[in-house]
Amino acid sequence: MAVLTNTFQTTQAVGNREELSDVVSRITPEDTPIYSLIEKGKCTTYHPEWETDELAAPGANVREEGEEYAFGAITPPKRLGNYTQIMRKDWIISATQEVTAEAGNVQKRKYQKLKKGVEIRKDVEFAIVDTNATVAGSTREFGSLSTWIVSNASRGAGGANGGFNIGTGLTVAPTDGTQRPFTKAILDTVMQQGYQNGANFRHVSVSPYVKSVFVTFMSDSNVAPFRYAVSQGGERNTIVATADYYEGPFGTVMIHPNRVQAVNGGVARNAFFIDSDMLSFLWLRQIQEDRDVAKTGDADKGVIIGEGTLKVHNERGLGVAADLFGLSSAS
Amino acid sequence: MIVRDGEWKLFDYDFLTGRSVWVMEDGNRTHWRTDYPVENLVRQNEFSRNATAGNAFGEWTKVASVPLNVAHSENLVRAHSEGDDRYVKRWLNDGDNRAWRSFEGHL
Repeated sequence: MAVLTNTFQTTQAVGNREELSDVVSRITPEDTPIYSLIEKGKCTTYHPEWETDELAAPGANVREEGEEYAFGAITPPKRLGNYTQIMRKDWIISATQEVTAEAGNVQKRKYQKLKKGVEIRKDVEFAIVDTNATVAGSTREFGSLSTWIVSNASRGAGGANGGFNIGTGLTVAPTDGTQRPFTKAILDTVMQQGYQNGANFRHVSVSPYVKSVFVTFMSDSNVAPFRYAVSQGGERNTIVATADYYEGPFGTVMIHPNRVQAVNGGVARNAFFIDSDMLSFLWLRQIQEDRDVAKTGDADKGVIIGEGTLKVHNERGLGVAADLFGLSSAS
Repeated sequence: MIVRDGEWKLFDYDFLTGRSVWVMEDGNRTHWRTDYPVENLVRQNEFSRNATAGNAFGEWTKVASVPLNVAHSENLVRAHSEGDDRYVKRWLNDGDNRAWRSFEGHL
């Protein structure tokens, strides 16, 4: 047996300290599950576009002998796009404070820079899991994951899909439905829809509460009855902080608790089913420090800034179980 | 306030899970350390293994619970994303990693 001590420790050295983007991309990947999972790419304009093409649905194909040909119309591929969003974190420390706290070195500024770097990365994750529709213009906003998904979605009563609008080139925010508890039936519905639409879900990102509901699926009447010891209040509930592997009828999925999804009820109500091939994040400007901030006065100013957008290669490869109780059994 | 553990400085602490992230500078590099209390998890997994002993694979069987930092550092997340099921299954079937398994069957 390896490990089995009280504390598991991982020491990870990360690259050159001046490579901020590189550093913040590598530390604690579990803090930003979706952003860490997906591929990172580059874009060269604030409005990257891409196309999706799909096969016609299979159908009966029976022809008469000697028949004259008729020609069907070609359906052009769909042209999709998203706008980049500018994200920024800044700080200012007086020169006296800088030297007072840790005389002799400049760690304090560096520490701030790292912290802000991690925070901005979490903001990226938040923008992905939030429910904001695309906004064009000078205060651009990228359409979040839940605004794209229409094919593999399970929503509460009264809920409606958003989706990409070809006419405007923008995504539309979904309409909230009545909240309901997460059940195995909802999981199976989304998994099956995805399977039929060609998705290959590998990861499920949920709020920590929804993750704890997952565990109870094993007590489903179809499955061997099984009871879990619920940890007492105050005791550490380690179960929410693990990656769980589930073997199910539509493949193996890994459940990730996403703390960013616990920020508020609006983002906690969605569970995202992800095929990491179908999603990527494009940076127009990588998260970086603006080194040219003018120095004025007796203080040190810092700004880190990044601009990027979410690229949904094909929304059919992604799924959402929406309108769940995401923070507790009633909210 | 800066909480210290020798050279390490506390960077992040999660009250719910007890997970803490520490950072240390050695002049050239920034080192990160993530501490995870895993005692409960190991116990929980052991409890599940015992409770499900002899069961067949059913619908949505939870086969393992791995601490997130281990899942990332052992490349399980990446392998799973890329569809390298053989790597993940070999890792999970390895007796050394039995503490993380919550179901006994061979994957």
